[in-house]
Amino acid sequence: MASMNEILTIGNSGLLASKSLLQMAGFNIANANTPGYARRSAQLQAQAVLGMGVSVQGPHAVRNELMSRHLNTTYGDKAFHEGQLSGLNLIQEAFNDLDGVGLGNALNTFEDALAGVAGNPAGNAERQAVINAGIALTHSFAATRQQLHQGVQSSSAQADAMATDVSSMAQQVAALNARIRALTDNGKDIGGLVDQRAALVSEISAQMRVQTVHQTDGSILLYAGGGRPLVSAEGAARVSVNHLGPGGNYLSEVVFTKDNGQGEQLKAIGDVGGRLGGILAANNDVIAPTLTNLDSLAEEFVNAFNAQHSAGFTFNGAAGGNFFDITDPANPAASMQVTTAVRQDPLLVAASDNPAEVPGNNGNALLLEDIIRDTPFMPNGQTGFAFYSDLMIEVATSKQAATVGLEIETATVSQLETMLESEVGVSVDEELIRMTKANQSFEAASQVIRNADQMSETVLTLLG
Amino acid sequence: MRISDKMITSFVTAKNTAGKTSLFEAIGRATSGQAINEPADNPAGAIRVTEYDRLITKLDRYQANLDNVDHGLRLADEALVKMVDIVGEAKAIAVQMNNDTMTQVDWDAAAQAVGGFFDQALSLSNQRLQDGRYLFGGVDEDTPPYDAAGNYQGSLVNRDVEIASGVEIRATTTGAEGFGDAGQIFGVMSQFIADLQAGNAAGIQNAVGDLNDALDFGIVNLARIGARGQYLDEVAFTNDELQLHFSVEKARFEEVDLVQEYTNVSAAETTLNSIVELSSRLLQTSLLSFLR
Repeated sequence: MASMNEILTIGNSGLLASKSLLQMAGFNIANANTPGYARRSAQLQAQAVLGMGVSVQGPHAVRNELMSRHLNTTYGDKAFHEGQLSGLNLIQEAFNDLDGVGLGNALNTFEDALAGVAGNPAGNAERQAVINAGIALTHSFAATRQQLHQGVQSSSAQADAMATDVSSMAQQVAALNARIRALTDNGKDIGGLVDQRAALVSEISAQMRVQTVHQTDGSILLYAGGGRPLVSAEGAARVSVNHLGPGGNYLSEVVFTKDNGQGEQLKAIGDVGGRLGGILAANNDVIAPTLTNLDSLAEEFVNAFNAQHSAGFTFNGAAGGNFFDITDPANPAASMQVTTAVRQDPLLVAASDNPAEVPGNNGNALLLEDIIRDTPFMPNGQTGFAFYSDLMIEVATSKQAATVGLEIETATVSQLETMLESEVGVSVDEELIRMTKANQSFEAASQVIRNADQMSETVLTLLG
Repeated sequence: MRISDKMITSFVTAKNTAGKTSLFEAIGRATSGQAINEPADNPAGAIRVTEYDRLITKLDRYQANLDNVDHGLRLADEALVKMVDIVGEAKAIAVQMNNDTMTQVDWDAAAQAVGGFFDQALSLSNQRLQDGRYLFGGVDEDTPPYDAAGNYQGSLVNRDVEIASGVEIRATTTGAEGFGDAGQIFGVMSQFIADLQAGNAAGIQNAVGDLNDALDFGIVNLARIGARGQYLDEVAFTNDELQLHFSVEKARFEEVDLVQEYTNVSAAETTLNSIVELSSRLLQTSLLSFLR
C-alpha cells in the first residue's frame, strides 16, 4: 500500500514533468524562427517503482543528420550555380549581338563595308566607310575585352571575399568544436552549440562543398577542395584564392593554408563547389578562356587581314601595306587599331589585285571581304566568324545551363527544406497544444497533492 | 505530414516570389515584344537571329550593287540611244552627200555638221556617273576614256560585282562595248569628216556602209544592255522574296506572339492574385487566434 509520502512524490513528479514540458514548448516557440534550430522534444517515462511517479527523458533535439547533410550538399550545388551566374551575367552583355552593338555586329559591319568597296572600289565614300567600320571593329574588340577583363577582376574580388568568409566561419566551427568537447567531457547540454555549429556548416556548405566527419568527442572535422582539411583537430585552415594573372591565362585556384604554425599550403583538387566554386568555374571555364580566345582571334584576324591587304594595291596602284596595327602584343584585342596612314588616306585601302587595273579592280576587296567568314585563319582551322560564334555560344549556353541548374537546385532545396522542416521544425500550434496539455497535467498533479494533503489532514484529525 | 510554422512562411514566400516572377517575366516579354533578349534565353535562336540579320544586310548590299549597276546601265542605255541617233544622223548626211550633184561647199558644210556630231559623241563617251566615275572606261574609272581625237585610253577590263548569293554581273562597261574596238564609231566619223573635207567621193560612198555597220553595232549593244537590265530586274525580284523570307524567319525566333503573351500576363496575374488570397488564409489560420 502506498504511503502518503509516495502519493506526494508522485504528485510532485507530475508537477515537475508538466513544468518541463511547458518550458520545452516555450523554448520551441521562442526559437521557431531561429535558423538551424531543431525542435526539442522530451519523453515522459513512468518510473519503475510505482511510488516514484513520472520522469522526463530529455530534452532531445529532433535531428535528421542524413537529410541535413543532403540539404547542405544541395545548398552548395544551388550556390554553385548562383556563383556561376553572377560571373556569367557580367560578361553576357559583351556577347549580346541582339541589341545591335556586339562584336559580331562590328564584324558584320566591317564585312559589309568591304563588300561596299568591292561594289565600287573607286568610290571615296566606300573606302572611308571601310576605315570607319575598321575603327569601330577595333573599338568593339577593345570594349569586349574590357568587359571580359572586368569580369575576371570582379570574379577575383568576389572569390577573395568568399574565401575570407569561409576562413572566418571555419575558425568559428573550430572554436565551437573546442567548447563542445569541453562541455561533453563535463556532461553538460551542448544542443545550442551544436545548432550554432550546424548553422555555420550549412553556411560554409553554401560557399564551398564540405564533407563532415563526426567525432566521438562531439567535435566535427570538415574537408573541402578534394579532401583538404578545412577544420581539423589542429584548428581551422585559412582559405585563399591565387589569381594567376595574364601569365596563367587569368585562371584562379583555391589554396588551404594549414593552421599548424608552418604555413603549409595545399591547393584544392578539382572544383571546390558552392558559390566560391561557381564563381571560379565561371572564371576558369568561361570568362578567362574567352578572354584569351578573344586575344587570339584579334591577333590572328589582324595577321590574316594584313597579309591579304598587303597583297593588294591601293587606289593609285601602290602595294598595299598593313591595315591594322597591334600596339601591345600582350593585349592584342585591347590594342589593335587601324594604322595611322590608312586612317588619314582612304586611297590606301588596297581593293585591287592588279596595279594595272586600278582604281576599278575589286579583286582584293572581294578576298578581304571573304576573310572574316570564309578564310580558316584560326589555328584550329576555323574561320574568324565561326570562332567568334563559338565564343558567343559558349557564354550563352554556360549561362543557360547555370540558369537551368539553379532552377533545378532551387526546387530540390525547397523540397528538402520542406521534408526536413516537417521533421525538425517548430509548429506553434503543436506547441500550444503541448502547453495546454502540460497546463492540464500540472493542474491534475497539483490536485493529487491537494487530495493527498486533504487525506493527511483527515488522518491527523482522526488521530488528534 | 507535420507542418511547421517555418514551412508555412517559406511556402508563402516561395509561391509569392514564383507568382511575381512569372508576372514580371510575362509583362517583360509583352512590353518588349522580344522573345530573346539575350543569347542565353535561346542560344541557337540568337545565332539564327544574328545570321538572319547578316543575310538581310547582305541582301541590302546586293541591292546597293544592283542599284549601282542599274544606274550605270540606264546611263549607258541613254548614251547609246543618243549615240545611235547621232550615227543615224551622220549616216543620213552620208547618204545625202553620196550624190554627184554635191559640191565641195556642200561637203564642207556637211563636214562641219558631222564634226558637231563627233563632239556630241565624244561627250557621250566621256560621260560620268553621279559619283564622278567615267561610264565607259572599264575598271579605269578616274580618267576620261577617250581623248579629243576619239582614241580609247580606258581599260579593256571590266569589274564583276555580286548581286545575289553566288551571282555576279558586270558592273562596268568598256569603250569597246559602247563604241566598238579601238573607238570604231569615232574612227568612222573621223574618216568621213576627212573624206568630206578632201572631197573624196569614194570615201564618202564607203562612209555610208561604215556608218551603217556602226549603227548596227550600236543597236546590238543597246539590246545587250537591255538584256542585262532585264536580268537585274529578275534578280532584284528574287532578292526581295528572300528578304521577306529572312525577315519572317527572323521574326519567328525573335518576336513574341503578342496575343499569346497578353494571355500569359492575364494568367500570371490571376495566379498571383490567387496566391495572395490563399496565402493570407493560410497565414491567418492559427490555433493562437482560437485560444486568444
